[in-house]
Amino acid sequence: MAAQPTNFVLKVYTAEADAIIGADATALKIIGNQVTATNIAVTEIDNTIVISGTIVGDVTDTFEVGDTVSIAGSTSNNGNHIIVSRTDAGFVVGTTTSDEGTHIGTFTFTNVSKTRAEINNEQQALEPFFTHERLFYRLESLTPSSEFYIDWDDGEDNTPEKANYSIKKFDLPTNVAIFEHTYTKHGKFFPMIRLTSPEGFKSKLYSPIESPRSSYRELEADVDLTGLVGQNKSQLALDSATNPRIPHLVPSNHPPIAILKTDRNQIMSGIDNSIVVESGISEATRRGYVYMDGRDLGIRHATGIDGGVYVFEQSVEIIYETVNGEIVKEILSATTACSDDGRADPAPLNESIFPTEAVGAGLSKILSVKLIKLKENTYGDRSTFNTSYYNVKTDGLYPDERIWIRLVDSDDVSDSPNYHSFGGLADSVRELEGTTSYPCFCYVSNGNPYVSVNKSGHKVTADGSESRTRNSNVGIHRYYLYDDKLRRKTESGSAALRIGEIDINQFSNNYSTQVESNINAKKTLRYTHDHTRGQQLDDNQFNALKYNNTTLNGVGRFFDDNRLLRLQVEDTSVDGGSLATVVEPTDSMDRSFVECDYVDYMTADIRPDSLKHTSLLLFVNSTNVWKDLSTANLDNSKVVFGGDGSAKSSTANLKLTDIAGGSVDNRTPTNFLLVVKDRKFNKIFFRQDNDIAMRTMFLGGTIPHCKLTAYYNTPTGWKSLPIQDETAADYELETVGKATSLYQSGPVSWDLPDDWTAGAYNDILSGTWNVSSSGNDSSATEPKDLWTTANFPVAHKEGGGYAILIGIKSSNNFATNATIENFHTTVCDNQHSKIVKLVDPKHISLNQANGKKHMTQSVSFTRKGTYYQIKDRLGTSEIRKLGASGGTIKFGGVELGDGTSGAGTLARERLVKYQKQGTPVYWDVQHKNGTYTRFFGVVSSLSEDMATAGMFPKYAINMIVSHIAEFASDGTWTEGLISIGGEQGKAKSYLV
Amino acid sequence: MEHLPQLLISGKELPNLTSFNLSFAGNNQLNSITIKILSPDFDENSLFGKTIDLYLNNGSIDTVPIFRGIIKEVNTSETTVSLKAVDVRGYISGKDAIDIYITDNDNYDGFTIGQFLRKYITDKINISETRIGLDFLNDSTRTVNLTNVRGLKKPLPMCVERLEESLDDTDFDNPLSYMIDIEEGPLYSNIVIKKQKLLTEEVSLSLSLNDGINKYQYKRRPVATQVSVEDTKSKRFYSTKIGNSPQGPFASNIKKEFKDPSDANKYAIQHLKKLQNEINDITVDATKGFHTGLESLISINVGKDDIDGVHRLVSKTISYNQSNGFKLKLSLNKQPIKVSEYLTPQ
Repeated sequence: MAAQPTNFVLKVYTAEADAIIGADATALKIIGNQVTATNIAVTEIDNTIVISGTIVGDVTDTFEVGDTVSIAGSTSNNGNHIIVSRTDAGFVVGTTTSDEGTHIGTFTFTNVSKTRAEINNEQQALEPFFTHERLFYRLESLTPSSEFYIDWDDGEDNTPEKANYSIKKFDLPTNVAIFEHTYTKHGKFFPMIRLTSPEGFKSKLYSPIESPRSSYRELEADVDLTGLVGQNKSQLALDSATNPRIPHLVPSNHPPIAILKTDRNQIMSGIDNSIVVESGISEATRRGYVYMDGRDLGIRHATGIDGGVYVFEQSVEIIYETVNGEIVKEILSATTACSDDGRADPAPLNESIFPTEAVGAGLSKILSVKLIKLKENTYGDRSTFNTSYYNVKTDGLYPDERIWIRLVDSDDVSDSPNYHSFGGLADSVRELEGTTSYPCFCYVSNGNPYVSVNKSGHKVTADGSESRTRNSNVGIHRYYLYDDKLRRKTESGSAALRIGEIDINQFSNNYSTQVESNINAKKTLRYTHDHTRGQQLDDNQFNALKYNNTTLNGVGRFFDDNRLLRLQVEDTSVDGGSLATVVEPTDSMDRSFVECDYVDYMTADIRPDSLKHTSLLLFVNSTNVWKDLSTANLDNSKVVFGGDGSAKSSTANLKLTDIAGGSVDNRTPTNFLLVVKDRKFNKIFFRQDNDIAMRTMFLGGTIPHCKLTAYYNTPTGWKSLPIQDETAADYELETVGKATSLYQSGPVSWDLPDDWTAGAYNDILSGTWNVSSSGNDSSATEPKDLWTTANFPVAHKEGGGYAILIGIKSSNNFATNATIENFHTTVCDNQHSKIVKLVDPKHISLNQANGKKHMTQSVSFTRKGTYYQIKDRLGTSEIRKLGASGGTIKFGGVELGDGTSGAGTLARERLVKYQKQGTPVYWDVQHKNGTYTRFFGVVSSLSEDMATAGMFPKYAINMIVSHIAEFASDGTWTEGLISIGGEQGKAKSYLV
Repeated sequence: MEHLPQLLISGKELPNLTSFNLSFAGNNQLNSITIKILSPDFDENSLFGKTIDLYLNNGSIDTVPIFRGIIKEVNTSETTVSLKAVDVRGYISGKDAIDIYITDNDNYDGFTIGQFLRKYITDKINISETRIGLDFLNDSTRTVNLTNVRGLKKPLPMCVERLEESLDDTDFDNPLSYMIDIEEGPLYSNIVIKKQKLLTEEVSLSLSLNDGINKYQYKRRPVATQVSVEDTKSKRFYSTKIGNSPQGPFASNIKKEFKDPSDANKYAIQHLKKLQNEINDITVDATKGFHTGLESLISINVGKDDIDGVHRLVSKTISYNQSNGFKLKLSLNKQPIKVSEYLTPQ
């Protein structure tokens, strides 16, 4: 039972004023020598005394084996007993006098051997005792002294040269000196004190009774004072055991700080091998499947050729690793087949599935994928099988087609090993949430013909090595990096849905099993886009035509997406093990802070203000039932808000409710997201994983429209706030316009308003809100229940909560395959979070009909290497190649039309759009021997010449080239992607 | 959607930013930024002491600013305004920082560097608002205290001086020094004490000609094998040598106060080992690693045996203008010379 430090000469206070007054009641408590309990059970046969009920104090802290415990309140065992062993729940003593059984009453257990003079945080009821907190120490002297000395025991050792000590000198001798000290190490500290009399005589050094020899051995090399032996011969004296006056100090650990850096903030879509484990497919039956999406996109018709199946033979070279560790290279065909199409001949899946039977092992990871036939087909090709449809050639890809490498289970394929049909891959069940999940590793296309796990620009390295511990004798033990892939398994394949758990003994939530611990500070991550995750294609195609030779929209590049990486670190004060520094039961803050949405960390345990925080994340839709989203926000399997009202824990109170008719522009929101924190913040990240079918944005009809608005709290009401919404598509679309908020993951950010005022819900217009509502008693998790002065105290930080109210205007949210689903909503303006943008590496073709035929200017470019010459006096020189230069190509065209809207071509307009938006494009040049050079890059400038006298206006283009590919007339290529200036030595590869 | 650097002055975005040069000078010098704005009228604003937040947004939206600082200088021409700002350590360093007078009666005996910074900043700097964050403040692993430090001092230089006197020689062959740096948090800049990392620790960034290096250059020097030491207290001279001198009898000099010859010898050996670990100056024009912090370890692979390997990042500069975008220059290995070492104290 914590006790006041009565008669102590060294007392500790959190406020200097209290230290000056010196009352025992306001000083930090010591463990003392008593424990009380309301239940006791005494068994004579084994001499056990078990306590229970309401226990005040801690048996293991207060008593040690060999101590004498004095019992009061017992019917027949009162008096002294020698402790043989003890636990938190009781004692085994040498002898009990009777088997008195179980009683309820008031029982007191007093340690008559010693009083534990330890100050730790667990003993405190009001004021915390932590490292890195300023504390005031009152050192008292019975007689006036001219100098007060205290060695804090946090120096290198206790020698005068290396000790960390403070001295207070007084011209007029005094009885009290007040010191300020902040511990910046974690452990037990045994201060030493010494006084100097007015005459100049120095006292011995005095230290707590429990001082181990290691704390003073530099001063007393020859004398071990343990048990008070040898004190008379020493310059050091230990305190009394039964009547201590000097405490030893055990401040609790201040948790570490996670700092996350990345080597790049933007990466291109690459190969994501994490899906292998996540899929749950057994090692033996894991297979890759080379799938062509032209039919899904509407480029090819389902019955266009040969029973509707298009096979692009020998089209990709894949290097992969099997589960046995072999590195294998195979050349495979891509196919649109996904099921038994009812033809006489089965679908030729066996040439598209790998590892093939001969390899004899399951797929572990894909290392690289190369489209080996680069020749681009031209929209409008006719079929010899079925003349009704266009775009049927199978010796190459059409400009906007992709080949996807999907993960499949060979057990799902009939007639193994020939894989005659594949019932589970039809469009309707390809959604991740469906019964069968066939996610994608990666994709290649004419505009992105090669991907590799080793390719720079396609991977991001997250680095937590700048994370730091607060205490100088504590290190970083483990790193927990959340990769934002919405995984539902650990990397070893165990089911793990939650990324965090509330733990009020910590500074904030703990990242839990879904986020694996790692002793390495760095981790390399790769991501990919995937139709099946609701990611949408943009409208940046040059001139795509569908199977009936009419315009096809929405088959261009994927919109940019974003991922939020978050890091938590754990320090070496973690409980247990050889790493741990001294830990008391409640000294458990070994994890760094991560943003969370709870108010519990405001009031839980005794903690300093610097370790208190409070936040809320609430949602309401037109049902007017506010929901607390804090728990769902930790779970990768639950929607936080949105969804269809049933699946993935979505409910009627969580789904987005549509506006009441009309446009989202001129209706008020029916959905509100309330984010409250005890500090100002300026970014929220929305992690979306929508169930929206591919090309939904371009299909017309009832597709979801969504727009965000935002407000901030002031005493005079919610005020509107301009936001930068990165969850919306970049530009206005024909069908859905700009109402594309929450179509992709990304941050919403704003500038901090000057008049943003901290407060509680009722500080906004006295609780009668001008926007949304603070609650109507329909649930216990309304703003008026949670955003209160109890949870956001006036005395905490700036006095209340800063709130952002996001209004979500939604319509058409529940059409088939059209559900907006948010899985995490996270405040992200902190050093442990990092936003990484995911960009589609696909370049858009400039070759097709409406473009190329209007290119009337010659195409010019220069291939240039970088060299240096070692010249001699005779004029000869040795030439060495240093590398290759990048470069540009130039070409131009004429603008056709007669000044009438819709007349002429859109070639110039589209090129201008590419220039404005920096769209990656490619351009093929055919040489006279039939070979091709394909230039990849962006249109950096476009100059226009408006000629007089009715001449056609001209435009000239300058295109910066990032890399080129050279290929034969049949589309085959052997070299990798190289710079326009040439090769730069041998590239690294897994298998040549 | 492309992202542009975002400059906030006292929380308000400045849209007409044309260029900046951001320097993380290292070696305990202040980080600084020079910003050019095409708006001479901007000078009419109240600027001095105002805070600057710079978000780089290079690739995606930054979660925290890469730099926060306080405006210390404004230069105006007919067409432009140029602002210079330094990081928040400017409150406790530089000629316009407030001095502290430390006496026998009013001193910081028993305060480690971390403890002193906490007390001083809380009492003298963060009076009405948090100007220098203490949320990340740690301490040196080897305790360095201010006991017996007396006189008129600038707070930060005093701490730096004490830290420089105390290398962590747990690994005797690789003594590690400390620096006081800044780490950006959600709302303010936080002061931290950083210890050098052993080169065997995990690297933060890997750079090669294929990935991340645009241009590089390096300077090599002969390895010093001797140190000449002058004890400024006893006026005695010592000389310490490690190994032979295959590159010639090159030496370094130290002037400092020592307790005794053994103390001088130990310091000289540490100094020499540290010098021997900092032979090559490498400068890299890099395309990634904009956010990598000073004293992070960087692996270089350019096919040159002399410099391939792991190095410490000692300083970096990031420049930006509207026509050329971002440029990043990383300096590795040798601690940069402080400006003050060129100048006579004022």
